[in-house]
Amino acid sequence: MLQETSVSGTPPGKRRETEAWYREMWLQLYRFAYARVQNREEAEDLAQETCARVLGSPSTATAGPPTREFLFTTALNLIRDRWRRSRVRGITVTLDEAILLHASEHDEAVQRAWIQELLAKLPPDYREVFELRIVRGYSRAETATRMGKSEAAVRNLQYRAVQTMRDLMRDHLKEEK
Amino acid sequence: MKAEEWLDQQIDQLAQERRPDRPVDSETAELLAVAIAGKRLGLQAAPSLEGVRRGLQATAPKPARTRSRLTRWAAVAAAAAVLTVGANLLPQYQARQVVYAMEQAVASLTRYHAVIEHKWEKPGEPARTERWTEEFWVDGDRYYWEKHHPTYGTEVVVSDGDREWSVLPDEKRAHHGYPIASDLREWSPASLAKKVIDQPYTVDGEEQVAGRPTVRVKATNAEGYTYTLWIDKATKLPLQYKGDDSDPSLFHYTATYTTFELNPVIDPARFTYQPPEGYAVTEGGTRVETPEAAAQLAGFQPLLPEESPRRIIANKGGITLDFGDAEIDLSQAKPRDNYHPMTVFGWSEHGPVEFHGSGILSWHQDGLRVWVSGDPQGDRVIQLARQLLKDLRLPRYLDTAESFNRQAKEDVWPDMAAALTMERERVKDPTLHTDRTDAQEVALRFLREKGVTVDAASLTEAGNIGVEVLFDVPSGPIQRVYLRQVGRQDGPGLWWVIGYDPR
Repeated sequence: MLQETSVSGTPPGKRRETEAWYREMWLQLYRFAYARVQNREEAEDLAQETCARVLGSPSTATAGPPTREFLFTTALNLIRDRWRRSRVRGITVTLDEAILLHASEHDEAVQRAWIQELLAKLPPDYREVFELRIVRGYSRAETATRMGKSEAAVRNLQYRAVQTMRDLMRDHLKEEK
Repeated sequence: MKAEEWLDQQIDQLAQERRPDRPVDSETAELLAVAIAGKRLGLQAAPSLEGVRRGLQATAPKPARTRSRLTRWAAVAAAAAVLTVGANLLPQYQARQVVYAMEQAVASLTRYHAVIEHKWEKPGEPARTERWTEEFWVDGDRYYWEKHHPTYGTEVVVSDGDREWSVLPDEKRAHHGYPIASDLREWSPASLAKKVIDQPYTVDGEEQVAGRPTVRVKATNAEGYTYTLWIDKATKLPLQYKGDDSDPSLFHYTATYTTFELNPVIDPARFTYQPPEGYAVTEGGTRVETPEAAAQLAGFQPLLPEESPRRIIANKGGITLDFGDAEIDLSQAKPRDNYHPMTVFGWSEHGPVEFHGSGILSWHQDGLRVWVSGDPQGDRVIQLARQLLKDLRLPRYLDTAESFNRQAKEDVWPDMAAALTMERERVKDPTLHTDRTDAQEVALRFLREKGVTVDAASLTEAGNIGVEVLFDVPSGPIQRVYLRQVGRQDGPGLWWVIGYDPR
């Protein structure tokens, strides 16, 4: 007496297909989101929200799993939405979103090459603190030990390094335009 | 808060894989975006999830091995007999011979010196390759292990067969305790061999590795992941291991013994250690002979499995039962009210049992935190855990065959309507989210859509394995509702109705 229809209206026969699709896509979406937001908590949220939206749409209920392109476009739109929502009202500078768009329009290798190229332009101290704290994920204390500086100095140095990196990105994006 | 301080906190959040805070102005929004972009240069494309799933595959219960050594011999003999009749069985026979020879070689291995190189690489991106090495000197219970990692620095572990020094030379710290050496066990020839022995395998060809002729064996697990082991033709020992490499978008892992000396002469001084002047030294617990003596030191009575530990180590507040190939750590702690997002649960009468991957289980029992660790495959860990938890249930992750919802008489996959309604409301009002209440609310909405009106208080939780919950309904056409967290399996994970029993 297996009931093949779900409350959401997925027709008989589509259910198993949807299940297989979901299992496959969840991991791919997670990786896609992680590459952009760089934290697991938010990447999981985004993967879930994308699946929920796409699976809950009337077209999925009748036509079955959507295309991969549709799924990833939905995920990217959600990332953009979240990013925009996180801004306080009145912010007009959109460099942050430009960086995000840069991520979506180029493949991963190009993005990495771009960031590495800019990183190479930083003064040695800035580059070192950026690599230790942000790229490698060392704590402030560990970074301070490795650099032979105080934790307060590391905090200030990393702030200036990120600011300088931001300026380089801004210049580069202006040049692209 | 100063902008420097705010940015510092966000960098920490990202390093801990947590969501950063909302930027306070355009300046901080930009700086955060730069930090996120910079973190993309890190070596891990997407941490944990894949590893945890694959790790769990290894820790998930496997059918007991039914072939004894004798029957294995018989199987080999039978294969040999069949060989004369049908040449098409040759590859299968060869594979068994090769793997059997490796099992024998690994079982008789007691003294060796080896250097193993680990490599994580992504196809087409050589710049992202990460390598580190480990060197082992092993003689029975005595060992010297040295790990060099470009990010995490150097670590040295030395054991004289009784006690163990664990040393971080970069930090000038040393701990004197009792052997654990789980990392050493994980990459021993025996552990590498086990990665294929327990799976269906085939001989895939021959190849030179590290200048030595090898036989390549491929094993495929139940989830379709393929592992490759290169077995040295001369020593019959594993020489190289490679994880699944079918997905070019993922990092691929390879471990290679670049040096392997069998039965070398090892200076006994290799297995002794004295921390240099200026090192911060900490001492582990005390070895005791009886559980009563451990209880006196620790301040609580230990839980004891049927099997006697090889040794008992105790200090104030903690007891370790060492079984040689696994250990049980006991400590007084309150039950946790939250779990790691990637934790997957089993269940016992004492509550959830957490699977941490890589052969680790933990749970709360009688006011104690129980932590069982051992073989990376998890067989031994589960065996010990079952001696403390008679009713331990171990769902295979993503394999619904062993989970609650397979008991449901009416199957729905998944009922999105109720879950999505909850999700929409939660997005509007984040305070709505209260874990288990979410599951109950989704069950109630499902029932309402089915025309069953009941209040929340009348639903009884009939089962709970963390990621699956059952609710009994007191009246109406539906007797029981089955829910599961599909996809994300933690607090904010969506609950879906996956089945129900008609009354």
